[in-house]
Amino acid sequence: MPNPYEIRPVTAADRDRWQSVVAAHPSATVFHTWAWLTAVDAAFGYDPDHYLVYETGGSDPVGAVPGFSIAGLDGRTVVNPFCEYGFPLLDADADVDPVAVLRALAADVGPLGARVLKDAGWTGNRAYNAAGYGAVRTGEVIRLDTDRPFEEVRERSFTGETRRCLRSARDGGVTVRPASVEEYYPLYLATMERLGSPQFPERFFRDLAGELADDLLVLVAELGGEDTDDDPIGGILALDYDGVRMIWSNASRRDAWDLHPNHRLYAATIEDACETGIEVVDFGRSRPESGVHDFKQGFGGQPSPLASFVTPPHRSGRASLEGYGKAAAVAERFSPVFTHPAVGPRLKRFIHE
Amino acid sequence: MIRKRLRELVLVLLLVAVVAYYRRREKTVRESLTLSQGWAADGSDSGATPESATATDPSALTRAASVLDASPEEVPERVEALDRKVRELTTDLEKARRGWADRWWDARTSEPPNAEEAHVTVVDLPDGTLADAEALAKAALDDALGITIVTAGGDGTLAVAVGADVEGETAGDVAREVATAAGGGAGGGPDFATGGGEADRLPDAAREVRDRLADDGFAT
Repeated sequence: MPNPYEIRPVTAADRDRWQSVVAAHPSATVFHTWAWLTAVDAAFGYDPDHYLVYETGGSDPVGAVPGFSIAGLDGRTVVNPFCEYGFPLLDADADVDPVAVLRALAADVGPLGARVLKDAGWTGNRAYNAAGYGAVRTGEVIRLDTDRPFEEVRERSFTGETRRCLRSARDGGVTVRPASVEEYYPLYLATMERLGSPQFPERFFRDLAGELADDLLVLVAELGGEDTDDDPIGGILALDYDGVRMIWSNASRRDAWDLHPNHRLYAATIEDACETGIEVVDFGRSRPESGVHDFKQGFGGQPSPLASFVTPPHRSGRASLEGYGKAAAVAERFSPVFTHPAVGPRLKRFIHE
Repeated sequence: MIRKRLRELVLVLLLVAVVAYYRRREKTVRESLTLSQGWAADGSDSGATPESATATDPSALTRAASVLDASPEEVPERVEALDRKVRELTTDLEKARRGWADRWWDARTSEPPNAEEAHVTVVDLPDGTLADAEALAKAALDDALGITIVTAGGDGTLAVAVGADVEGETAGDVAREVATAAGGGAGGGPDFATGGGEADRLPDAAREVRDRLADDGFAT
């Protein structure tokens, strides 16, 4: 039986069609936006492999699927890189059959290719198995309801330990202020060097700031307020879209951890969300039972599982993050190499996570 | 001969590699499809529920302890005590509601006292307490020519109100007369007094005093 849907590659001329599908979908994320895809494209030069979904022979798109084709030693992988979400957006009003669309996407990967669709429990998408996709668990996100006064969020959702750390940060003189990506990047780079993890090129941050404009929030934490000449001790970068704030990057100086700058930055980000009409703050991916995950749990919120769905299923290993976890144990030793300005951004292009 | 052996060795190694590849591939397919199948079946663990509907956080116990002015370890015991108290209050409330309805209906169907002449009224509250008797007697102070005796069987108490225009009788004397007849005592001023006695004897004692007052010219 022929597939009732056809997928058509997206070109620059489809920008408005893409944006209308994304804008109409209630679960769309910032990682589905044209702005995000443009910034990734400009900074990394991957081959764009986004698709609009049409009913066969139709003229109005009923879905959108983001992805970039990334070459590897064992073939190309199509994935929405550097983010948590890359699931298809399908028009609920048009009663689109998700299984048929996923099968159409699977038929397009080629002999050595694979397509990876990143999804989360909160979206409710359940059609992958029926379409023959395998899955790899990649962690968990925590999403906090911020459609209420900050005082209520702090008292009802933050744990006692988190509130204690916030008081400690305040008493220690840690203040938070808005900043630019140029101010944030050195903090981010220092954190990557400490972890031995290849870094994004600064250009990517600048491109994101240019594309997202007011929807990109950077805060830095410092000691003693704006009058001090000291460098910031921490920073956070969040992306806003359609009432959801995604905490995408966070960095801090290890020698300032006793002052809890990250607690202060998260709380400030959440407080700003409460005051500016943001309904949900998404803390981003972390591995359950890890220190980072425990830190995020201290701010409350609802955990939701993350998984990457892969077709064909025997290439599911391409979506696994286990290898990165194992490499992290030795990466610190090779940090000067992995994070060298001439090496790090190039490595990042291949790691695409 | 050697070349033939080498060729056989290469073929064996190739065969082993192919078998290993397909075994690994089969394992990956099985595991990943099992996971995606579990994802498809699992609608409850999606995290889609808004936090506000399911909020639980470790500080809840601490906050509850703070509200109850207790340590976290004492919270279960305090909650049990509160639960008992709520049940008792609910029972009391239900009794009070029934009593109020009965008395309202009695009042609705009885003759009103003659406001033009001195009169005496006896009210018995079988399950009432001193607080109930006092409340009712204080309300009766508005009756300028009336003497109102309220007995409460719940705790064996009474309250007496004497209107401002009543002559020759005081609340303290009337209360003492009733209480003494019931084996107790009383005290109070000219217009309002309280006392206590044996709960079973108070209604009869009150009626005896009412009869004595009737003999003295008070309407009943």
